[in-house]
Amino acid sequence: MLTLIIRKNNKESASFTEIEKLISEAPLYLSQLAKNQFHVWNMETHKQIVFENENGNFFIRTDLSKVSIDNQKWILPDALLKNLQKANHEIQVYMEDVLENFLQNIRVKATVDKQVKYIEEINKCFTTLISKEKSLKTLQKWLLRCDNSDDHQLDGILKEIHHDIELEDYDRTQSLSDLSHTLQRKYRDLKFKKITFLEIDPNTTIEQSDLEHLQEELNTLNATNFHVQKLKNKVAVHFPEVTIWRDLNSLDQLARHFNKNLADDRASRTISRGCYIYVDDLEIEISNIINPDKPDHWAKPFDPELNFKEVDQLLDSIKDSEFVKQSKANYLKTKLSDTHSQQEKQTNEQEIIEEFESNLPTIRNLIRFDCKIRNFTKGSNKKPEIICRKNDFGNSAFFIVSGKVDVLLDQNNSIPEEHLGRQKVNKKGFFRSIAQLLTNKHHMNEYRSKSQKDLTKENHSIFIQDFDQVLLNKHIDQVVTLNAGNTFGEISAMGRTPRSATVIATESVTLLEIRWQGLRDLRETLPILKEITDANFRERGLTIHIRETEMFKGMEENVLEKLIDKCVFQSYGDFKWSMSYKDLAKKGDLNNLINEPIIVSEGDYPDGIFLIRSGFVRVSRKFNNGHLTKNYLGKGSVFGFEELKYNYENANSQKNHSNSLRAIGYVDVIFIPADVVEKYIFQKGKVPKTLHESCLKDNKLEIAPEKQKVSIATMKAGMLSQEVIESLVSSRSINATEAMLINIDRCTRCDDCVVACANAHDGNPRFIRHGKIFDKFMITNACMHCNDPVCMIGCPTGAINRNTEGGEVIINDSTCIGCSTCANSCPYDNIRMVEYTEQGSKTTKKDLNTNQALLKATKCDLCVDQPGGPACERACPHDALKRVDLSEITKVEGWISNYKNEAL
Amino acid sequence: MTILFSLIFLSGVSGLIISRIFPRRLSAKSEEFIFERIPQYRKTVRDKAEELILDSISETDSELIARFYKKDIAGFMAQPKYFIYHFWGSERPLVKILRNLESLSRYLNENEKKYCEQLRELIVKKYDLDYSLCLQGCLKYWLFIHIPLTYSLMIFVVLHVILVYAYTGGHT
Repeated sequence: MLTLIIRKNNKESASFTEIEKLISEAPLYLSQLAKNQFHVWNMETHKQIVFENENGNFFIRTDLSKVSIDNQKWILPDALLKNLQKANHEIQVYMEDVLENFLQNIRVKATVDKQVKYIEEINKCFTTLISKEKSLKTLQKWLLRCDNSDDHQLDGILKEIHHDIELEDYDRTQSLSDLSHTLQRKYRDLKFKKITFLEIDPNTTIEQSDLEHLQEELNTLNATNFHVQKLKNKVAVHFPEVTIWRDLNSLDQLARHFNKNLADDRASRTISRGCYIYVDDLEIEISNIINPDKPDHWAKPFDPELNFKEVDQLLDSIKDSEFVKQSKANYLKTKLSDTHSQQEKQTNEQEIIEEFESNLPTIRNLIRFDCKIRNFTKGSNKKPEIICRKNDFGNSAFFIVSGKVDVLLDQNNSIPEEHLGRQKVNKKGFFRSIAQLLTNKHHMNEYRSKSQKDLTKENHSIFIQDFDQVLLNKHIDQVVTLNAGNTFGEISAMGRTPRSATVIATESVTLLEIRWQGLRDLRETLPILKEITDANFRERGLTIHIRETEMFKGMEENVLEKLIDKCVFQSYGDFKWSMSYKDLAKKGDLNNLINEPIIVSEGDYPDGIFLIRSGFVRVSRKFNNGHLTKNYLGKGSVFGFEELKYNYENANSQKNHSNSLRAIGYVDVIFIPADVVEKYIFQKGKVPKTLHESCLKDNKLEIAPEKQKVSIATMKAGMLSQEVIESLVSSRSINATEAMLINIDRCTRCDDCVVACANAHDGNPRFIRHGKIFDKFMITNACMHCNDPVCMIGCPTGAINRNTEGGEVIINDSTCIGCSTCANSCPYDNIRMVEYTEQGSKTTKKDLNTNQALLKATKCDLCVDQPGGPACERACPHDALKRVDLSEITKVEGWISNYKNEAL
Repeated sequence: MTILFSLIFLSGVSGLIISRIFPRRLSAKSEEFIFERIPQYRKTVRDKAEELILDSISETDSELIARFYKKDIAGFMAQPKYFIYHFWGSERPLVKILRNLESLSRYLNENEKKYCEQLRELIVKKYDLDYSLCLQGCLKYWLFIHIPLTYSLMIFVVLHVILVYAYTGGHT
């Protein structure tokens, strides 16, 4: 019941005449109310209004279920207010009154029906609902249900209220998580923010002058863009960017100023509880341990033993190297190419050098935390040490500080695996696998052990076995030597692809290993480095790809070099495509091909062939007012070969491209001009059979689809239905190398796969058996271990990385800071942020500062440590679940044909 | 033991049949629901329906749809229904409800018909939820019949063998 309390201002009892007058006018007021603020169900319901006079207060009651309120602030119409003021009445309308009245109503009902046991329970439920600030609409709904309900229904309602409270809690968590994701996405560009809190002694009184002093002191340090803030008993200094503290004296003064009890010991000084300053010669670090349990960016340096002294020595040693001089000169040359006058050149040069030097502190810090100095040598048994191996997934690049390395170009992967010292991932043994079923902790939350093996650590030495034999047997096609000042491995680190060559140290060599997130930051800080690595990426990517392409194999070296000179490396699409993809998915615009950059348009004259180096392309053809996807091509595929060949063989009847080629996400292609193909391939009769067949397959639909007498429903591209292929490409599931596909015609929804996953991961499953459905196949929300794992792009600590051996995308729990960047970047929503508990604890880990639960990212790790591979696949009793490589259409067809054969 | 064996045989065959037929029937529906989340989906549908009804009252100044909802639909929305019909794949109850809704639409204006159409979609969704609940429930719970029976039979067999040896009589 809605209660309007009309109380006389002078606290006197209302006279009967006044009440009578108000009663007679009440419907009018309510109709005005209805027009302005309240929506009254039906004017007939006025009959249900009850007027009461109680202790001089005048009550008007009406059925709450028939009233809805737009805002929680109730404003009465002017006419009614004026009338009431005239009558010297005050009107009060409270939400609490409404709820109290409602509870009263329930209580009365329950008492009358002798259902006394419900009273307290119901009251408790509704009090909870009130305390959770439920909207009035929610309460109205309950009223609607309570209305005319009998005893039995009342019992049900009580249960449902309980359920509602629980579900609302669940929804609230979801919405908080969504909010967090939205904020993360909104501020994703500020991912390098480092916020340092500088706590001071709680007993120290902070004056405004102190804050000003601190601000001044910080100005003298090389800190920029910081903000000083007074927070109760502490001063917070927010640094939007990572800053190096160079001025010992200023910091020392700062420390002294804020802590009178500063010890004289310069090795480790306490500024206040929880915050330490470490002083080591000229190196000062402020380590924030306000929240020691939550790892921060750089909380785990790549090389914990590296210190700033060594970093400075390293920078000094390479500062005067030929490489740096040359690179600097080249960079200046490019930058100053547009300036003509000498004076202008000098000014610009000075500016560029100043810009470079202003970045030095950041570079110094990046080297300190994201790099590792590694020394490789020829072993005592004269075996060269392996730096990186072909086909391993690399998470770092290398800069040669001194010495030289040999790059073994092994096009045919002919070096025996045992010579490269490959080791298998340590799988759990049979008995350990059985034991895990008994030892699994059945926590409600995710479980993390306190110390976990750092999967990114690569300190072990591997020597190439039987090197002489490797050379003698001509396993290697070519050996390229790289000297000091060169970099290698950046293609793999930045492109998230396997290493393209094996690199060995045949003599003592010192390398600076840069983990990929450091390389990414360095590239952003140092434009010169970006240009060098980009140039290397294009040049080496092109060279290696051409050399490994089937049709160019066996070509003479000098001819190959000429051919490589004429090829063009092109990139299409956005490197960080996941965000734009997610936006498109939200808008439901994934089928609109306008968002995919065109590489070749249908009807263009073929002037060369395109080799796909990385990424995926869509082969499509116009169909009515849309585009029909015929195929998708990935790394190593060729486009345009058949048309070129046809034109070469039929000089009188030339053929244009019958399909369009569009970049899906980000694509690297190598364009080989027609004259080069004609000269080196056609004229020499070197058309590889396999290539010919694959091209024929790509172009087999020569008749325009609209002229064919087929319907979309029955149209097929190879073995796949048109719907499947369109859906796979539009959803970009073709990026998957290990997609979890479930044949829903076979799946009995028994969830054995989920249970198996939970058993293999401390009782917490790593996927949701739910996802998009194409035809009769479901692609579940499990990590697909993509060809191009875009989730890795933004990770500030590099916690998400590829397993060196198999390339599985895994998360290193010990360095995951729970920033949600990977979860936001994953285009397929296959990474979840979860609260977790630690060993020996039953409660979730919480932030000491904010008391909010800490999060960690979790996803399918493809059971990398389980014998026999993914537990989900093996657990399926109906053989309905498979991990399938969707990146190649033939593999998808193979899987589907298996089912068809079985069905036959 | 014969009875137990027969029951196990029957439940096993039934399980085999439903595990071959029900997945196809489930995948024939346009939407897939996670079994454990069906109560939550059902609640969402019910909330939406009730919100729709409240809106319709205020927007159309008519309580006809609300009355119909309260009389014919509220019970259906409140809990899972028509288990047997779902088991056999019959859509008779749905047809009946929708036919009633269609009859009602004769007396509605254009504005009310819009609400009616939305209500119809929610009814179909609720029916699909019940359908999924029934079929997935069968697929999950038939083992709860089959396995205890199997274990009982095994225990009875062991007991039987023990008793046989115990009462062989020894020396006559």
